[in-house]
Amino acid sequence: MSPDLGTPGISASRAEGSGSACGPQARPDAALAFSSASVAGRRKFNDDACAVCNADGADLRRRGALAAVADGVASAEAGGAAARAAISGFLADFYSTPETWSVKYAAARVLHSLNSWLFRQGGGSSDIRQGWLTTFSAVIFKGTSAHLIHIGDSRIYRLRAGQLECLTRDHSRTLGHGRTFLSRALGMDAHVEIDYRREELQAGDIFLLSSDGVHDYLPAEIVGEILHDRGAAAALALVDAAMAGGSSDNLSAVVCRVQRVETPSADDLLSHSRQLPFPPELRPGNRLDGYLILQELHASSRSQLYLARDTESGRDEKNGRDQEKNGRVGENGELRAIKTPSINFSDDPAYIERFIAEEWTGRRLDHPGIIKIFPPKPGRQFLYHVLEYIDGQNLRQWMQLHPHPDIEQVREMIAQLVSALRRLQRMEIVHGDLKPENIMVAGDGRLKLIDLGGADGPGLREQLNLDGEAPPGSKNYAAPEYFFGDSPSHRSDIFSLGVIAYELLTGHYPYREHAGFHHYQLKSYAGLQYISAREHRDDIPEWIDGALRRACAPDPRNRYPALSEFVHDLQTPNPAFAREGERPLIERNPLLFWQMVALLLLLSHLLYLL
Amino acid sequence: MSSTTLNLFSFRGKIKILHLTWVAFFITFFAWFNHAPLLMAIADSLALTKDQVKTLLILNVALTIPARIVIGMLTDKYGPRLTYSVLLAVGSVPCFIFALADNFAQAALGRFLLGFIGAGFVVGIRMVSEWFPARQLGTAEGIYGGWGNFGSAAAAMSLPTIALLFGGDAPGHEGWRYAIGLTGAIALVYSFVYYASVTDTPKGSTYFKPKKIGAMEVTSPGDFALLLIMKVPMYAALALLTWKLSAGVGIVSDFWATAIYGGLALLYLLDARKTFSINREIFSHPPAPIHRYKFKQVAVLNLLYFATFGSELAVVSMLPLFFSETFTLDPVQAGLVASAYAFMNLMSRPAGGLISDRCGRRPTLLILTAGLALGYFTMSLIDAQWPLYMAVVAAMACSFFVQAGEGAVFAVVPLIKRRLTGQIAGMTGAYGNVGAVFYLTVLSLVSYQVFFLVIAATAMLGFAALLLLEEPEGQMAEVLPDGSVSLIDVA
Repeated sequence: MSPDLGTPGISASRAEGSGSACGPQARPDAALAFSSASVAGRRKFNDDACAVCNADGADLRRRGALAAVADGVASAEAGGAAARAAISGFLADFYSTPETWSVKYAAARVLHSLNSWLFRQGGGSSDIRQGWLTTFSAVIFKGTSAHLIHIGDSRIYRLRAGQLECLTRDHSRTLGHGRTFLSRALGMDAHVEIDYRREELQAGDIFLLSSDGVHDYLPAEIVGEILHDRGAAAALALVDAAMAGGSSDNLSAVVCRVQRVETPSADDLLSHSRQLPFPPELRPGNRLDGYLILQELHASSRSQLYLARDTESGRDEKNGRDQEKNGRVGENGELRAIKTPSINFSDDPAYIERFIAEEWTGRRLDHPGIIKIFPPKPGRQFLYHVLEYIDGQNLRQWMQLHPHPDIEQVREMIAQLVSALRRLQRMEIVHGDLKPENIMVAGDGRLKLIDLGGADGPGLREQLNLDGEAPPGSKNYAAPEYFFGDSPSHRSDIFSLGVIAYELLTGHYPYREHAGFHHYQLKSYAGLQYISAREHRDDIPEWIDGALRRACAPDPRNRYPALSEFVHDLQTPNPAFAREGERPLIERNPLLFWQMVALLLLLSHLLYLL
Repeated sequence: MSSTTLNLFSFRGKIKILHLTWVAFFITFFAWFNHAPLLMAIADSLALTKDQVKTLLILNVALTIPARIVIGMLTDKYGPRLTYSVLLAVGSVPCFIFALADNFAQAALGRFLLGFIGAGFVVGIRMVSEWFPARQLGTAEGIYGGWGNFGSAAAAMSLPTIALLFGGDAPGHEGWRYAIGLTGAIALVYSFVYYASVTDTPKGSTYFKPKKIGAMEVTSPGDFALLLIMKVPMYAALALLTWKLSAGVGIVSDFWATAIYGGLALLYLLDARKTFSINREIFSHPPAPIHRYKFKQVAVLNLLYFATFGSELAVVSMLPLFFSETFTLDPVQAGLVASAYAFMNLMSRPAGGLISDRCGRRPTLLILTAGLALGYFTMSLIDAQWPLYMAVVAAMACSFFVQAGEGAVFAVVPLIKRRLTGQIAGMTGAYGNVGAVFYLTVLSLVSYQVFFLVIAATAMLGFAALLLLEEPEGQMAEVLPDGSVSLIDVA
């Protein structure tokens, strides 16, 4: 678990048998006020577990606060252990997931692995008495939303404007004469289905998570009253009331009161960056916040890239020595690349947002095939990125020097790119702007992805509060779904990769170039006609062409679903592609087929008229 | 891979694009003003009256006003490469129509359609802005605009001689027809050259997101009203032309004139409605101060461009005629002398941008506008008593202020609201054409002297409007003596 969590407290029944309770733990100015209680009640052991992890301000936006309740199945051998393992495991793992993941994705991944672990602990047995079974309900408060995660018969209630509403559905079946059993629980099966729901927060909302020992013995009106009247002591009051109502089960309740909703732009660092002015045009010899500009590497209408030396890094490492020879300070600092935004976009909020997002994303990626972005120095005056300097050429320049590379060499390069792309995929990030200009070929032949300005993904959007618009993409490399209105996915990167592979081999694009440089509307995927790579180069086998064709299929549904399949098909002939020429016309070119049918019909009508 | 300097002698990459594109613009101007130095010969062989000759001059610039909008949209959709090529190819047709004309109506049709080629400027600006980084953009666009505009001077210098080579004014050997046909042929040939040798974007460039298109964005209700007012002259210029053609020369019947007036009014209303629908937000949700800009600034620049570029287009069309009539010169001499005016384009337009970078936008514009008012006043004094060389010097001095003024206006345009630069530049450019129609209509009504005085008067008006312009503000970074870059606030 990360050290800077708010007040992580696994309150509840660590010590078996002794019903422990935890009082209110609210800071007076916090956005969220929690209270929780868990007691064994009339049973010998407390098989419930509950936990609260509070966060505030920027932390609330970045990582989120969490309240969870688990109710171990008492008839099972290790119900209590399962509940506690689920709660502590979820807390630890959820906060260790990459920040680039969306809450939904992160929670699902963590719960699936928890479920597998619990299932294995129970020996995979179908006998419920040996199982490690527990219910699990959690609310994650992040930004302006509450993310509800639920499995089993614990419940999540929300009191809004005097109205108590149960937001979950019990996963239980009734057997008649009052006996019920759980139809879904963690640890019950190798596979688990988890309910997920996202709700907008409103100031004044009160959330209640309770185990069946509480809500089965209290009518809804009483729950509403207690939540409304008892404030910080509500959790304890609910447990007491349920006890008085005759509860024979363990009792757990977590109450969270939403005092105010944090506005989405609460992240100090990001909002500070947003205020920074663009740097002016830099000349060799200029010093920018301790970086000595050495030369301009590249300039386009969107950004500039300079080579710079970090004059302060050398000093930090060899403190004493460098200060003696004052004049030579910074002579041997690290080389860095500085990327500055183009003044053309100085009042384009969408561009600035993306530019800042690029740094945020880059700093969370660590892969030898992806460029490193360094954190800014404290007190920087301008908006720019500090990047790792890669000594080499970009793939466009490489292609110009190697117009006809071996298929073997291309395969190897694609495999390298796939390795980097896989990391992005695991982080739930779509690169979105793959093109030869954004791939560096280092001196040792290793490829590195640069420019994460097009990166996109649900987690990024959640974290950075990006607007709905996808980044614009690059001409000839952006996948057709960008123009069709479908949302981009990892398959969009596979498309770009396919185009790059095609271009590496042939020096051409697989589709006709679109005129102009404005985003356009694509009417149908069928409008794009793939040009066989074999038309440009005879020595490309049919199966390689088939793999390329499938990698850059216009319709994402016809594309490779996974990077590995593309790599595999580039290496081993896929028999499906061998019969390419034997496919019926209606599959190869449906448009032509129907045009011919229409023409024939027309001719037959004409004949009839004659 | 360094690109710190702009090496104009290279012919690779973006520099190649720049050269090919300014030549395309050069050819559009070459063809657009191919009539100016040959007017006397044309008037002779088609037996045109003075009034008809002046009408031809107005017709030449009329269609450009609406054409700019159409060409702008086509460039968005099909890219500059295809649009410029097609524009050059299509633009060659009216050249041939004009070259083969037997009477005034045919010549008028040719001239009217040739107005389309005058909209080429817009296409190249897009091309250049896509290829050059922000730092080099000013210089690149200065070269594109200045060297391209030189096409009118090239026409004035070369066409009379070419006409002579093809037989001059001798009956049966109407050399001007060959000269004008030649410009059309050049445009046609170059359209293929251009298409074959440029691409719309550097390889792997990023797509532009479509913006709100169709109307200018403003940021306050007051500015909205001002925008609606500033749109009026664009329609008024076309109405003025219609009036000239119906009441003055009579090639448009009263019925059609009324229909055109009605159509223009309807178009204006549609335009206003579109403008409203795009700016609807500002009435309910005024934008945050950081996103605001003052439309007044745009209006002032429009007026200045009206006086500078508008007068340049008008003067370039009439100057050969003016010199030959005033000093009784033959067409070759008159063309050469008149080309002195447009010749200055090569350096004065870029110089205007440079000076305004150095000395501040507003003072530069004030001085240049005062200079051009004075310059035109001087030109109004030119008569047969003046020595020819003095007249040439006056024309050159005046043209320096005019063209430097154009450069200085466009040095301010990107500073008003960078996000809207394209739209602001488009509207400012359109005002240049409105100015040309206005001045040429004035010319058709009055003497040369009064014509120059009217320009001087509008320049004074521009000068007064300039007092309302606010020096564009912003944060500026400064390089300290030790080479470190730091921030200073410029008030």
